[in-house]
Amino acid sequence: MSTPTEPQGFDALIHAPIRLRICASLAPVQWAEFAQLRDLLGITDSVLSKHLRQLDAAGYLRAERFSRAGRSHTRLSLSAAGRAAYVGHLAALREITGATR
Amino acid sequence: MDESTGSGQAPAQSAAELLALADDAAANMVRTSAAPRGLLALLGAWVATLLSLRHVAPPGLLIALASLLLPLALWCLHHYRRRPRPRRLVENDGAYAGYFLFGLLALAVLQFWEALGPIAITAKWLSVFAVFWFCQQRMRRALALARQKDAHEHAH
Repeated sequence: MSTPTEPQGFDALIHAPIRLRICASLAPVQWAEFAQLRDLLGITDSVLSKHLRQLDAAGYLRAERFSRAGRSHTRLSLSAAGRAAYVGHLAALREITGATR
Repeated sequence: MDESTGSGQAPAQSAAELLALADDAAANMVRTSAAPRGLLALLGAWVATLLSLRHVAPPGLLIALASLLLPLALWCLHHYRRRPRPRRLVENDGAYAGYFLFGLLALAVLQFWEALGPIAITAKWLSVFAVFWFCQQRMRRALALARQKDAHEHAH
């Protein structure tokens, strides 16, 4: 998704701040539940759902539904493609800023 | 940038700000999925009590104290069932292992201290707890940094 002026690995989909924060939150974990992610990011269900759908459509996300104590939960994780895109996008951002960390 | 749709580029938001956003979000998730301080404090108190009383308490009391680990383990299990599950680290962190070994060594050395009076027992309890807490906090911090770095740099 990069243009010739953007560094390699730049991903316009992940570049949006909320989606970047979603990916950054999911990156250190195997999975997190929808409610945990929503609370951590401090956004509403509808906003989170919308951005998750966009990430899901790009194949960056895995969502697994399960029930516990009679209640339905959704477990979210980055797919291999999503993780690779996120790491690549961070590398592109570092390249833009000139950071070497 | 259109925050709601997230489409297009972000001329107003610099790459550095976005990197800081990602760092914060990852740090928050790492903190959420880490062992809670309360649990670590209870574990430290349990170890300190067991080690400081081992020369004066009857075996029955020591066994009773040791059995307190069971409710602690159950709390731990309950806690981790509800938390996001941490990803396995691709690279092990040297600082974490260093503090772990230092803690083991310091606690092993403290076992040679035969605390018999109330003041000595209190002093030993405080020493063991301080060593345990110091090492736990350093290990926790080292692990958090390693997990953030791993999340930002390793795609697999």
